[in-house]
Amino acid sequence: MKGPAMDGLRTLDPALQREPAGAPRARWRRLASPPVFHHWAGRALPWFAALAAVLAAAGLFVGFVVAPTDHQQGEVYRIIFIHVPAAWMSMFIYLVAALHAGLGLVFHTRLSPLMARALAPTGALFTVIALWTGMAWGKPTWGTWWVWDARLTSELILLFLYLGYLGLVSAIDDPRRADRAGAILLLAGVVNVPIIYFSVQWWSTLHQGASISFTAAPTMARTMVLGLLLMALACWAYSVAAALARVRCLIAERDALGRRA
Amino acid sequence: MPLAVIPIVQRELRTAARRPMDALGALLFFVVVGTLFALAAGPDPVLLRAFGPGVVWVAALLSLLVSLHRLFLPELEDGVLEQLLLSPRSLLALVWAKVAAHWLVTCLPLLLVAPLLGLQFDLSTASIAVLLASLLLGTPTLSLLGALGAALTLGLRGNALLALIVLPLCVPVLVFGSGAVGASQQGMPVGPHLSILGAWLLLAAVLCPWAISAALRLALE
Amino acid sequence: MSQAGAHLLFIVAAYVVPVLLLGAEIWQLVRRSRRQPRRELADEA
Repeated sequence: MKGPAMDGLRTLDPALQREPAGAPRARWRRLASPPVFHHWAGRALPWFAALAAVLAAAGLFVGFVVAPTDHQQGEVYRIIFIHVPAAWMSMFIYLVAALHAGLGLVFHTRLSPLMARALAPTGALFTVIALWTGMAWGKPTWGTWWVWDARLTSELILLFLYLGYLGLVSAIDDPRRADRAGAILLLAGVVNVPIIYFSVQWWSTLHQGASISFTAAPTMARTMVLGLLLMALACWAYSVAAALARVRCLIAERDALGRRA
Repeated sequence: MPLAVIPIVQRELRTAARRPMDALGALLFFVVVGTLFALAAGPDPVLLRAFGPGVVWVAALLSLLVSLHRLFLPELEDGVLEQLLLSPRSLLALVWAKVAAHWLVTCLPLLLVAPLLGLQFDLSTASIAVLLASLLLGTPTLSLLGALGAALTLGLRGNALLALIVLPLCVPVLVFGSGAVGASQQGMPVGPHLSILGAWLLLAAVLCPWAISAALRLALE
Repeated sequence: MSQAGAHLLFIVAAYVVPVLLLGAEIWQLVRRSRRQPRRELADEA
C-alpha cells in the first residue's frame, strides 16, 4: 500500500534517500542531511544515554564515597561535583551552539541551525543548575545565598543570553527566519562571552574586601579531580543525548510542517 | 558610501525635529530614572556618590532602549527596506545612517544632561568629565548593539524581547563605563577603562553593521 | 539542628533540584518524541 497517504515519515527513511548525480558523498557528509541524521541520531541516542548514566553513577560514587572530607569545608564541598560540571557544560554548550549557528549561516546547511536550537534549552538548564548549586554551596560556606563572584555573575549573564536566544526563536513564526535570526544572536553572544567574562572578572576584584572566590579551591585531592572529570563527562554525554533527542523531534516537526504547506 | 549616508541622516534628523517628543521622551526618562534611584536609596551623599556612576550609566542604557524597537519600522512599513535589499551597499549605508541618527537624536542629549545628573549624585568635576568621556565612547556601541536587537526583532510584538536580547550584550560597556568613573573617584587611572571602551567600540563598528544588515534581510523574507 | 545536619540539607537541596530539572527535560523530550508519527509503521506499509 504505497501511495502519498502512506508516505508518513518515509521521506525520513535514509534508505530511500537518493544520492545526487555524480560522485557519492563521503559517509559522514551524508549525516548533514536531516533524514539521515534523524536515523543515525535515533541509533546513537540510547548509547549516549546509557553512557551518561554509567558515568554519573561512577562520578557520584567517587565524589561521595571515595573522595575524602575537605578539612576546611567538611562535606558541603561535595556540591562541586554537580556545580562545576554544570557550569562547564553551560559554557561549552553555548560555544558548540554558536559554532553550529556559524556553520549554518556560512554553509547554509539545513541541519546546523536545528542543532543550535536543540542544544540551547539543555545549555540553559545547566546554567540554572550551576546557579542553583552555586547558591546552595555559597550559603553554608560563606553565609550568603548570593555572591557577586566573577564566575557566578558570568553564569547569570550567560543565562540571560540563553533566554534571549530562546525568546527570539520562539517569538518568530517563520522557522527559517527564526533559525537564522537566532544564529546571528548566538554569534553576537559568543563574541561577547569572553569580553563579559573578562569584564566581570575585573569588576569583581574591585572590592578588596570580598576575597570570596569559587576559584579559590584548595589543592584538590586526586580523587576529587577524578570525581569532577567523571561528572563532567556524564554531563557531556547527557547533553549529547538530550540534543540528539531534541533535534530528532525538530527534524520530524519541520518535515511535517514542510509537507503540510 | 559615506556620501550616501549623509542625506539619510539629514532626513532622520528632520523627522525627529518634527516629533520632538520622541527625543525628549528618552531624555526625560533618563532624568526621571536617575531621580528615582536617588529617591529609592535615600539622600546620603556618600551613598549617592558611590553608586552615582552606575545609576547614570544604567539610566542611559535604559533610555536608549525606549525608542529602539521603532528604529527600522518606518522603512519596513514604507517598503523602502525591500528596495534596499537589492543593493548591499545601500543597505549598509542605511544601517550606518540609522545608527548615527539614533545616536545623535537619543544619546547626544543624554550627554548634555549627564553632568546635571552627575551633580545630583555629588560627583566631582573630574569625575563628571570622566563620565562624559565614558558615555561618549560607550553610547555609540550601545546604539550599534541596540540596532542589532531592533533588526532581529523587527516586526515582532513586544518590546521586552528587544531588551532581553540587547541588555546582556551591553554588560561590558556598562561595567567599564561606570568603572571608569569609579576609578576616577578613587584617584586611579582611567586610561585602561576608556581604552577598552574604545576598543569595544571599534569592534562593534566593524561587526555590527554586517550583522544588522543580515538581520534586516531576514526580516523581509 | 547541628551544623553537619544543616550541611546535609544543603547537599540534598543542591542535588535534588538538578535531578528534578533534568528529569523534567527528559520527560518532556520523551513526550515530544512520542507525538511524532512512528517511522516503523511507515516502513511496514
